[in-house]
Amino acid sequence: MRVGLDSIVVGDFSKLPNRDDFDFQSHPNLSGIRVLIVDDNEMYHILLGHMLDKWNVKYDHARNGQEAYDLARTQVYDLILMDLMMPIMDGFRSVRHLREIEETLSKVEGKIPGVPIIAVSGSISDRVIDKLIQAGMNDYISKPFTPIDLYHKLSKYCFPNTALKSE
Amino acid sequence: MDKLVDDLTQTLESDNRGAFEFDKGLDVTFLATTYGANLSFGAKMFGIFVSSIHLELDALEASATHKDYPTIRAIAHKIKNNFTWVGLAELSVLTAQIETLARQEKSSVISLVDTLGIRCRECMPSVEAQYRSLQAAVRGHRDH
Repeated sequence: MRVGLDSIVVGDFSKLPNRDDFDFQSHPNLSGIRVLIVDDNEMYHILLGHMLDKWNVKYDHARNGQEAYDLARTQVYDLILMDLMMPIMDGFRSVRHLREIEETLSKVEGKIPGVPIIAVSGSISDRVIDKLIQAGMNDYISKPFTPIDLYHKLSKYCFPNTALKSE
Repeated sequence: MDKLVDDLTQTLESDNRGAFEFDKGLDVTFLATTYGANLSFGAKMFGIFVSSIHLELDALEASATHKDYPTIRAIAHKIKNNFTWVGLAELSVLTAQIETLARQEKSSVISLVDTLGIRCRECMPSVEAQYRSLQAAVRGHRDH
């Protein structure tokens, strides 16, 4: 049996994605980029890690917004995948705190680019999108998503100058 | 560039272990599609489910007893998709309903939590058997 990129859909499996319009050649190699996965569900750590491992992406895990905040203050990440609803500190609050830190640092050290933060949630609505943008997140991935969706987001924010023909 | 294309195409392809029989008490089609060529990945996913679901269910039932709707909602939100990953998609649907009713603070959520607990515990022998067979297959592969 052969399982390809399009065989795993994260969250709901009622439909599999069509990869016919995905132009792999326009996409960069993600090897070596560093990602922070923030989710209180360990199965998602395994799942996302499984995808990222295959792309040679390095990653750390945080189980809530507080752990994410603590890690992001001390480590350098190219991108953060942030669940929204978590115990102790939710994704919105965690991102607000991170953006405050970045703003403070910018005042001291000059303008620094903020780390791209992508919300990952199965409950994306217009209201949630407004809220996550207000909190300082850059974008979102709505569950269910495919590895291709994830790849698009990683390449879009980690390699912004690369043309994404399929987007 | 060709190599990159190959790498990407094979991104989630893994060691093909040949035919593996999935438990017919679970969603065989989904499990075969998702884990058929990635048995170690399947073993990890099942392992986490088996080790955590009892605690999550206990916490869900305790919060239902106290009509603690925010906690019911939070737990349901957290675990709702986990069932799908072990071939129990119908329980994911049920748990999503629990999350919705808990958000609306509807007391009917209590009986749904009971139903989820009963259905999940009925399915656990199949899930645990599947976990053991996945572990055995992965061990068998390593031994070769």
